[in-house]
Amino acid sequence: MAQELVKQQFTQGSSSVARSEPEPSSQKSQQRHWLLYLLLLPAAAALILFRVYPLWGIGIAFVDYNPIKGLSGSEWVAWKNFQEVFRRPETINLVRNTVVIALGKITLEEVAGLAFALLLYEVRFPLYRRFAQVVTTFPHFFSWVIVGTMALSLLGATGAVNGLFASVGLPAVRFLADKRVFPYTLVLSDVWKEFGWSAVVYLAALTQINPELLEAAAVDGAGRGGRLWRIVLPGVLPVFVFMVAIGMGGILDAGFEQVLVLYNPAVYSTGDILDTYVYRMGLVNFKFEIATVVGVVKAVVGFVAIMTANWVSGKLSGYRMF
Amino acid sequence: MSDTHLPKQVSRRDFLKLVGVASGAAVLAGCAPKIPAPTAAPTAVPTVAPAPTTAPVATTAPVPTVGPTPDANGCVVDWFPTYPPFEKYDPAIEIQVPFRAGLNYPVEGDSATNNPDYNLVVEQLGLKYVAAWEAPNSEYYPRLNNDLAAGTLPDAFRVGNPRLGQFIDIGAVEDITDVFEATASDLVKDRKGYPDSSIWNGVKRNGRIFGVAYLEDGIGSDNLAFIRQDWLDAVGLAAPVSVDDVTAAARAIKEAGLCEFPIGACVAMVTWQMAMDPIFGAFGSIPTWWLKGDDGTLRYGSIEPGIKDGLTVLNQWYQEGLINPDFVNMDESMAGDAVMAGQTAIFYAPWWIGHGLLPDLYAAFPEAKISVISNPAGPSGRTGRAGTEQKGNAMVFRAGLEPEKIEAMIKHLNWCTEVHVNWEEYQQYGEAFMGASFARGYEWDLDANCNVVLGLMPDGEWLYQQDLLWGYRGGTYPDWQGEIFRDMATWLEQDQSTLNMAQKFILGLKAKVDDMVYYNYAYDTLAEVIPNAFLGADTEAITAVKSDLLDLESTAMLEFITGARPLDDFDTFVQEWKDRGGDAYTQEVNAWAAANL
Repeated sequence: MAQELVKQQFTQGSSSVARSEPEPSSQKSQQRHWLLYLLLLPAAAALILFRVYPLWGIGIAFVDYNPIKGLSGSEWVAWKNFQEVFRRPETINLVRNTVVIALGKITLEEVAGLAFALLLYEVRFPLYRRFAQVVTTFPHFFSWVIVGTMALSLLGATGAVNGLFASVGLPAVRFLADKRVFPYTLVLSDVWKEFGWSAVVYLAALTQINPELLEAAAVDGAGRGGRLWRIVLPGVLPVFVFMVAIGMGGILDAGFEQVLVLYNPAVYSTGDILDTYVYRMGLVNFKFEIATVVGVVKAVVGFVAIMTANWVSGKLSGYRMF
Repeated sequence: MSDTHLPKQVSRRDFLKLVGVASGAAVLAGCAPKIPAPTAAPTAVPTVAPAPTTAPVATTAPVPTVGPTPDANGCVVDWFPTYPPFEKYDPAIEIQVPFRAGLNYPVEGDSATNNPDYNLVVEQLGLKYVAAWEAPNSEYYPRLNNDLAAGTLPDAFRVGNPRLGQFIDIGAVEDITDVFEATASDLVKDRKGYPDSSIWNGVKRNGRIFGVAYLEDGIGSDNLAFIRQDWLDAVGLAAPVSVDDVTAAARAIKEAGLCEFPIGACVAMVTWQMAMDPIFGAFGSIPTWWLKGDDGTLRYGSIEPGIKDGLTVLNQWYQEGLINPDFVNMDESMAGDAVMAGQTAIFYAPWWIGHGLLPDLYAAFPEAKISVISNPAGPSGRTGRAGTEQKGNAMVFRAGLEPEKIEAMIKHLNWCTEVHVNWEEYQQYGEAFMGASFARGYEWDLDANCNVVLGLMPDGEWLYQQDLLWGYRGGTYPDWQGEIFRDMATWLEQDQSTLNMAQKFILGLKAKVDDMVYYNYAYDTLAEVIPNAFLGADTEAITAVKSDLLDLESTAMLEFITGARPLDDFDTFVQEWKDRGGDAYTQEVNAWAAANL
């Protein structure tokens, strides 16, 4: 969500992303802008109703939950559920899988988005540039149910990709059945789906580079590579650092929908993530307490991660969310 | 923001009014009572169903079609369905149940609450089943769990194991012992084996029952071996008898270019179709089953030595390309699709593929010929299959439901069972179509020459019955199908001229006759079943470890089959299973066995 807001701010050419020293608000300013605060009311109400109020459900992690008796009627067990979760041998595996897959996605997506933006930036035909941008942005809007079905068909042992391998004498690759390959399949298919969308931010950032700098560099004899290395990249690097840092706030979000569609028991050891485990425990196997504990741990770690990421981003790039 | 930035057309006062109205609406919306999560179909809201018309809504041909009155073409049929007496509820009783989404209503104007099956129940019995929500089968349990958490369970719903035990143990469902014993007919009690049959084990606690047990079909999950006979004839081989014969036949069919992946498989080893349990059965064990030893103790099938032998065979098939390498991503339906697409030569499936997979196969490939053959024998010459777990599921009633509603539903069950058992007497030929209403335009129709022909036959009309509780599933018991097929078999033996049009029509349906043949074959080979000896409810200790152990096991099996893990590691897997809670599981199961077997 934070990333989407940032994208909107960047694409509007606004520098309204908070710098290290935000403007202080004063009582006088609040009085002057009371209409704006009034406009915030519906959003605040929605936030409280759908994000704050349900937080009481965290209590499920501390009780022996009986849905019929409800939270208040269930027996208090303190940290017993947490002990059970951390005692399970698969917990470490789940965290490892989640972090590895999420890290891979965050970094590769931003690298691919930046690289594609740089390529598009050099395209001199506006029509083609727009066409390429639209086509590469399309997959972002597809649900993983659709993309997953395509992936199953393309990457299966009898799919088009392995057909191509066979035609050139290469051995088949079990993209969806080999636990060593499956994490790469997840990361790369997600990068394919999202790199076009990621590029939107970088394209906006590139348009903010002062063209006079590029002209001056050209006059001074810098070639395309030189301009790219000395002007363009340094200009867009703070945005890249910011996006990666903010992405790290979602270090425990490895893509539930994608994994659920693509995984199978043969790849649980490297493909099962916290969210799919929570889904199986909570909604399929009825263990609400275990699912809640994992959710609480995810939320705490995510909170610490995003606070840290915001601070790091501010230090490195000067850009901060808040 | 100052006034100068606002468009001059909108005054500050107007803007304030707009914002106030918007904020007020949002706050009111936020303070509104909690409503159930939105359902998939817009009609699925738990409200009162629309009032029915006094007569059932005509959904098929515009004139009455059954009975002595000729239809528009002057055709007359010679069977006259009747119904057992029932004290109709007036006003009608409404009962909230989950409805199944995505059903096919081929007759224009039909819907979940307007079709012959539904209208029959309203008209004859005065029972109106309304949708608590509509969801596809895969979403059924997640929706129920949502309801449980939200406190909005439907009035009645079906639950299988192990959730059945969980629902009972947390007090979510009603104790119906007294109502059932007072209301259920002797016929129902007899057919369902109340109270001693194993199908009641899941709903019993200390001699009390918490639902009406049912078992869809006593042999409905018994997997038989089927083969494309036309391909077998093309390669000049006899029907395979042993596991090695199956391998040879599959190789020959593949090498002849007839089929790329001859042996059908899906991700689950023991399941309702396209399973592999006959392969493991050939070596004396069944995955996930509890096997009774000579000393009376129960051993978990998945860690028996025979499983390793079965995995060795499957690994060999995988390496040779005899099974589709994508099987790990294929569920039962996807694997069944491969059969229908003519991409499978040998597969293991239940008797009801006669009306399940095979009609589509024959429609697409008229030259296809399917034979049922014996399950493959292992080195010792034995065959084996998992069989159908004789542990019933149940129709349960939410805690706190009015006893009058439970009584009404059990009376409905009495009526359905009476119709089913005495279907010939009532001439209710829909019972040969899994309890359908046998309305014109659905299972049958009349052509211009007054011949009984196939109607629109909606795909899965039997699924409509699930919404009405006591149709297929809720009202079933182990011999539910067998009774019908044995009666049908007697028609074949009697003078055909004495049969009525409906009987001749049914016997003229290849799918029906195939079903009958395969069912009888499964029935005659029941001796090869390796039954699951643990028929008790899952205790809390079992529930704590079972799902994790099943994950461990399914991962390991697939890794062994695909070669990702060497078969020599099988003993390591066995030890992992024991260490991760398998020993505790075994202890719980044997405690039950000591008390019950």
